[in-house]
Amino acid sequence: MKKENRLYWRRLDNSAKIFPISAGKKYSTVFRFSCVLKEQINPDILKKAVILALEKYQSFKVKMRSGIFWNYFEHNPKDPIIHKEEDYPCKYIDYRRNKNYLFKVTYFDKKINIDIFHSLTDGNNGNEFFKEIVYTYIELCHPKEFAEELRSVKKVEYNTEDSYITNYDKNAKSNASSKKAYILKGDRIKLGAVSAIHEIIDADKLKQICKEHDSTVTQYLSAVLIYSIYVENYLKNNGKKPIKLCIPVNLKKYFPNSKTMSNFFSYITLEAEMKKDNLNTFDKILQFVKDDFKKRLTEEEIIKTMSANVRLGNNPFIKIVPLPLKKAIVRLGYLEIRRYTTITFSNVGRMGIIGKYKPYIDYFLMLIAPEPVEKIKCSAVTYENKMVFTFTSILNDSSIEKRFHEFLTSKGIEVKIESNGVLDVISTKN
Amino acid sequence: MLYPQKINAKKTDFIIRVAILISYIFGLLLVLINRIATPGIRWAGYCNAGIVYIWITVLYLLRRNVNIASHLFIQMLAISALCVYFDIRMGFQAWSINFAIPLIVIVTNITMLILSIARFRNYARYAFFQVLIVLLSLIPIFLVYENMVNDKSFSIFASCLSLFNLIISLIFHFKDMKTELARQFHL
Repeated sequence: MKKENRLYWRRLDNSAKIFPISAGKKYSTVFRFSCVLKEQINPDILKKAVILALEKYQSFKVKMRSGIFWNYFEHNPKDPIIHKEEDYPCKYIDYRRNKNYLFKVTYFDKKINIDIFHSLTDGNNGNEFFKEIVYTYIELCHPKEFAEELRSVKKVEYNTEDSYITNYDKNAKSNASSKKAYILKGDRIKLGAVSAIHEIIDADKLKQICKEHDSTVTQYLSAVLIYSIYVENYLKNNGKKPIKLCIPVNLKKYFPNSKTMSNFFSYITLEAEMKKDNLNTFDKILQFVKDDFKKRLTEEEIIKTMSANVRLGNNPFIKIVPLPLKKAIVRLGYLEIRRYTTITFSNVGRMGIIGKYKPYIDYFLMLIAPEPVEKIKCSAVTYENKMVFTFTSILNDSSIEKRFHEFLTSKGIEVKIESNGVLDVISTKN
Repeated sequence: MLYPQKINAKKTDFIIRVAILISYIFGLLLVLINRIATPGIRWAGYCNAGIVYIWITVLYLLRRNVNIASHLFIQMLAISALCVYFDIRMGFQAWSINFAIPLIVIVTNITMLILSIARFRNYARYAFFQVLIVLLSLIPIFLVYENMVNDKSFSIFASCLSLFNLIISLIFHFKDMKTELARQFHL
């Protein structure tokens, strides 16, 4: 190993700092991308593909270490290990059993998965790395068809700067809401299992319906989600607090100069006061969502949220607290901190895939780890005409997922369901 | 089919939990036997201290890819604590601070010296633990200063050896140490 590699280290970005402090088996802060190919996966070739992709994206070739005050990344000289998928998706990555890597590549049948610990990067950049693995894998599997691609050395332009620090506004006022959110009620699935239900939606038809309602796909699906929660969980449990939907936002759209591969995201939180604003029909909810998006999805509001978080991370009093103490305080306060969101929905949008590779790919999936307070998390990714909307859940009840499905099909949208069968198996046992 | 049908349960966690439970029961049994059979001699405490020491070592070793220097540091701490505990339980004849701790300090520092020579290229990984070991190795000299030790030369030798070790490391690995300390203490 070269001396410069051995001594390489970098700080965690402002968002990444919180994840290793708070993460554990119950709160993994892991997200997953999966790609379903049209052919069986060859693990040996997959391993080669991951090693080659890592050469290009060195920012992923790191391990995490603990400093006195903060964690930091250090070069990882080992080769990653590739496993056959055995565990539930988005489980906590025990890096000590993963050659110290903070991501985990697994395969099953025709599917390649990458589980990424959020400290390493955000969904947008994780997606770039994952696409590189998929491209390289396809190239290695079909060397004749991709002879040119294999020979050419592709360079990627990126850095690992903390774009939060570069772009935040010191004087921006905080826009955080002090209201606690409605928390989904119900028993949890036993044995630490995680349910994954994928709703594979006809994207063209969905787009057409959205157009009829003068809304974007994210707005429409957010409204369907709030409506499903309202009917299946909120009403049944006589909910009082607002349903708060957290939507991550890719900050590179607002700061196009950023080339970072580290985290660079923020979020908006829709706050649906179901009773106060009389949001008892889907149409009213959709109108509310559209209005709230208009109010919150502005550069000014997003910078306010981002800046408040940066200020917190830069607070000198927080900085000088030793890391073990930070961990203890954050973990003690975790349940309280998380009570400001009912559910998260992340739409990573359309997967841009180079035409030559398309014949080998069926569709993509994205999953986010649920946690004890936010028991369900949702994500969506679109490839060609398939949008896959995924529910990852630890709630032993799939009525929200079913309502979501019924609603879309009642609008004439074709929706196919795939799942890991956890809810069926465990529900029938109990 | 998108997912595997059979999902792996965390068997190892279960085994460790069962083993810890057995240790608890075993420890309680020892106390019970001690009280009933030989109430005059309190030997169960020594056995239970041994069990705690074994668990610290086993749980630490179970963490794969563990840093050898950090293991050395943990062992240094655990054995020293065990010796002091035994000494106190046996009426405190001060053998732990006169001989045991200085000896542990000497052995740890010699091991650390060998490690820094044998793994010259990977020294950066050990630098932080070397500093911690040096700090801990100053305990014998502190005990001398406090007049708690009879055989002063042995304790002084132990602490000086660790300082010598630190100087050697600074000469040969200054850049590694500087980087490691910057990583550890960055705000």
